[in-house]
Amino acid sequence: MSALDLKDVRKVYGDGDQKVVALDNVSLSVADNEMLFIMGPSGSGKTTLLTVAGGLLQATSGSVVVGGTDISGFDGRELAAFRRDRIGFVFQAVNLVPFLTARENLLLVRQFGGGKIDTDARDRADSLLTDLGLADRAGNLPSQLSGGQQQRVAIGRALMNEPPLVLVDEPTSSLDSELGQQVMELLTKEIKSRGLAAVVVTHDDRILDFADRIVQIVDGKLTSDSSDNSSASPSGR
Amino acid sequence: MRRQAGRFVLLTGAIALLVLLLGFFQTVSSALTSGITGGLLNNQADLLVYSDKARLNPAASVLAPDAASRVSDVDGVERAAGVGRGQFADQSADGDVTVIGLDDLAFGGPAKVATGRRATKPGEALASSPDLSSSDVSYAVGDTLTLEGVDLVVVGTSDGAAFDVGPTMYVSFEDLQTMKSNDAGVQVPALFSWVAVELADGVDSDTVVAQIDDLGVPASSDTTTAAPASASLASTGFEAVDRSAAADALPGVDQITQSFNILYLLLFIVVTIVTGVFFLILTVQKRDSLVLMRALGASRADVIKPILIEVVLVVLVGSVLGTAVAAGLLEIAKDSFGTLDPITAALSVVLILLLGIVSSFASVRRVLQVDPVEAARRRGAS
Amino acid sequence: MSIALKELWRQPQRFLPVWVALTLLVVLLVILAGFLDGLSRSQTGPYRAYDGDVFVLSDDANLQVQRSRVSADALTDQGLDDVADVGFLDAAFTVAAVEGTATGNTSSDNSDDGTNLQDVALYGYSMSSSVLPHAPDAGEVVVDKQLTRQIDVEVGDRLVLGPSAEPMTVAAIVDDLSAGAPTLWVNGDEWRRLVGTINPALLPPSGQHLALIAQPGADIKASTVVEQVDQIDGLEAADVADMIGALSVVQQQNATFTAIIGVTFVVSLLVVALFFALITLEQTRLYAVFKALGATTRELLTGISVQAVVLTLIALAVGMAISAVLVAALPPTLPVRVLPTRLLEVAVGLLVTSVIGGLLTARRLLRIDPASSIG
Ligand SMILES: Nc1ncnc2c1ncn2[C@@H]1O[C@H](COP(=O)(O)OP(=O)(O)O)[C@@H](O)[C@H]1O
Ligand SMILES: [Mg+2]
Repeated sequence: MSALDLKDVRKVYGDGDQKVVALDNVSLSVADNEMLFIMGPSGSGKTTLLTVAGGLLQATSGSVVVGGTDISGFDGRELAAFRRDRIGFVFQAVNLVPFLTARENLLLVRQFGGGKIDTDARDRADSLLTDLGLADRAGNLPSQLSGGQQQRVAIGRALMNEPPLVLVDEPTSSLDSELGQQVMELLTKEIKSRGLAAVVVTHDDRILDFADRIVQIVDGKLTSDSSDNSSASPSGR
Repeated sequence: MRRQAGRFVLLTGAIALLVLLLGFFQTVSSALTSGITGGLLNNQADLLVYSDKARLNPAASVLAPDAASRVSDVDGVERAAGVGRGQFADQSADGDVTVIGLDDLAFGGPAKVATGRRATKPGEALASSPDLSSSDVSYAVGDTLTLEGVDLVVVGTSDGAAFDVGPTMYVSFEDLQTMKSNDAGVQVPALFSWVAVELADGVDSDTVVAQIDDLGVPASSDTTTAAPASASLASTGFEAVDRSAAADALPGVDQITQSFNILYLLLFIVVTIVTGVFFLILTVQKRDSLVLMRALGASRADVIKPILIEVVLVVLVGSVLGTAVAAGLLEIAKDSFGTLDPITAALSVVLILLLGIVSSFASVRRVLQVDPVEAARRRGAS
Repeated sequence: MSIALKELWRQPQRFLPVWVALTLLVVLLVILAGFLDGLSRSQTGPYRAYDGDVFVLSDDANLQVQRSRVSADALTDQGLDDVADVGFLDAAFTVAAVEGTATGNTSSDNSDDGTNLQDVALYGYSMSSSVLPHAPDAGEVVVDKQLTRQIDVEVGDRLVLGPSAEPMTVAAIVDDLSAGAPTLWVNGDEWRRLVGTINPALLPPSGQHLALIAQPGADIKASTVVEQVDQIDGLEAADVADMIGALSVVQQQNATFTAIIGVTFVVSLLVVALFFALITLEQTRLYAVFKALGATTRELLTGISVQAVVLTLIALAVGMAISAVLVAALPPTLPVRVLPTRLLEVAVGLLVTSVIGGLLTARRLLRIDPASSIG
């Protein structure tokens, strides 16, 4: 069973004259344990692909199956629960909650949908923060953290609910080269060690080494499956 | 742009409500006070003369029948006439009527007649126009009523002429006496409650007041036909006051006006501060985009002008709306609440405007102090 | 939701303006309500003195005691088994002062400084109640607390009453029973004697009173007695609430203040609604992130409601404290009466209002697209 299956997915924004076809019959499969990179120029539909795969937007047509569940017919409430339990997002703009500490930003996702913060949740948050090298930063507000540290907290938050699929949008766009490498290493380590699948959108070719497979997207169409790494198998990195 | 419109509507609505609150309170409270004091404030008399034992309380003042002639002998008094008062039920209307009995039907009643004319003979009445609280009982020219067996026809109405927050009839003193006697079941002595005084032209009212107060108790007062008890009772000195002092001295008026003044002040403080808070919220909320504007090279004036325009526009539109709604509401309920005073309304609007501007500037100042470079660095979810 | 509360604690400056506005509105509401109850209580003391009893007036009096005349034996021999006791009430306005402090009652120039002479309402009565003691003896008078606020008077002091300065000894001081003025209470014979010296025209014919007061027997409702008395020709009965309702001044004041309090609540609603609408606009991005992470619109609304409730609770606490200080600073003669039940009404009313104000953001929250958190 694959972590993500997109079949003939179209996403059209607006209608009439304003119509923009952001995804044009995209079919794509991401295996469990696979780290897929999507490359493409600005405006090619990368972010749209993530929002459709993550249940933030419904596709105009086609089917979106995540971990065996077809989410195409879900309503808003079902999608919210789906996102909480099955998807980990790492946003391009980090999007930490400014008035919550690093630890609370992780625990945040446990509280939605009537969830409780129990000992298990706290232990998980602490061990994630430790793994991410933020143990001594747990009580700091985002404004007291550096850009790299904020990005690491965002990764921790994405992993908090043990989602089978992690979606990452331009993780290095606001970091310098060295920091970007560090963050990617951490991200890959966390994802691989947990056996998760991930889709990473980027146009930063310095981090392509981390990919199991790379697909190109242009004008909403997947052009090539230019995988230079071994497909659908743990790279052991 | 839609966002802006929604915000503008909300803010204007809030200002309109605040202005409405102020206008409504001001009108209603002055109507309530005038329901108590109107009859005295809008009287023909320049001075009212009470018994000096009554503490200026018409209900406690009792004057002998010769009081009017004694007062009219004082230098500077043009005219003086005895006035009595009582309160009776209008059985057909199921309400109370205050009755003012005028010994001289041409003098001692309201200064102005709104419709019809004054009563000129017994059986006729000049009624106060509908006022606060009289919504359930009101009288118009041509209406007839019977009070304690006395048939009356309303021949005129007068605005703001009420006593005791209820309909008031100005009738002949004879009619009042008949009502009182019928009510009591025995012939009651003919005693006045006060004497209405008109001053001669150019006379100093303080001098006349002093002279009337100095009249003292008449040497012998048993020249009247009144019963012995009331004769001794009516043998009092006088206390004269002008109309407005008489109105202020009515029992309860002090308390009510003082209460309303305190409430109005409080209301005003709250309204202006709440307005200020609104604009503060708004400007603080726009801070980031203002800082950005500064970063992009906007001058101080460029930043301040749109805010100023917004404040003025919101306050003006809100005030006009609030005043219009208040005036409309009060027009509908005119019979019970009176109408809006334009001067007070205008004054409130100006003060709200000033406070709006001041509080907006307070927050813009903070924006102007922010280093423009900061704008570029801001990120995160907020 | 503790996230909402954390936001409140950690970013209090964001919520300061709405909190200030709410606190001020609480003060306004409490003071308005205080005047509403104070003004109405200051006119209705004699009725409240007979709480639970039934007032019996002549049926042509429109429930106005001053105009009613009832024969003293109107209720005897009427077979009213449900009535345990019958008393009477007579009333007149006059003036009073502590003996020796009144400006000479025959002196000719007392125009300004009659400061110790007070307008009072003089009541004659026969039946004790939970407030009133047994009717005092001849030469004695029971006074209410309102008089002690206006002049310095204690039990045992001598007062002079009316234009002929009739001397009376203060036998007891009872709770505030104001009827537009402080009230003095004497027995029926004393009342007739005193009113004879004040204004004999006010005296009802002998054997008559202004009103009778019927005390319902144990376990009998006032309304039962009212119904029975209404059957009797020439009489009209009413319980205390109806007697108070029949006073036009009280009715008007109530209508006025209720209207103003109503508008104040609407303003509060707008303040809260506007504030949270702005907060929502400002935080659209944050709420989109919450939604992307799995929060539902309902959870976000709950968070805003919690913030509204907590803000209102703090505003209520502080506003009521400020009101207490303000009320204490007002001159004691002003008719302000802050009743606990009324405070509760204000509190509940404002909480409901602000929750509604917060919930008005529902449409905006619903429209926030979780997809806008990304890209
Ligand atoms: N909400 C939207 N409404 C209309 N058009 C959109 C919207 N979001 C994206 N688009 C358009 O869809 C196309 C793909 O956008 P996007 O997925 O954001 O590309 P990328 O992330 O690769 O830069 C672009 O042409 C963009 O203008
Ligand atoms: Mg993008």
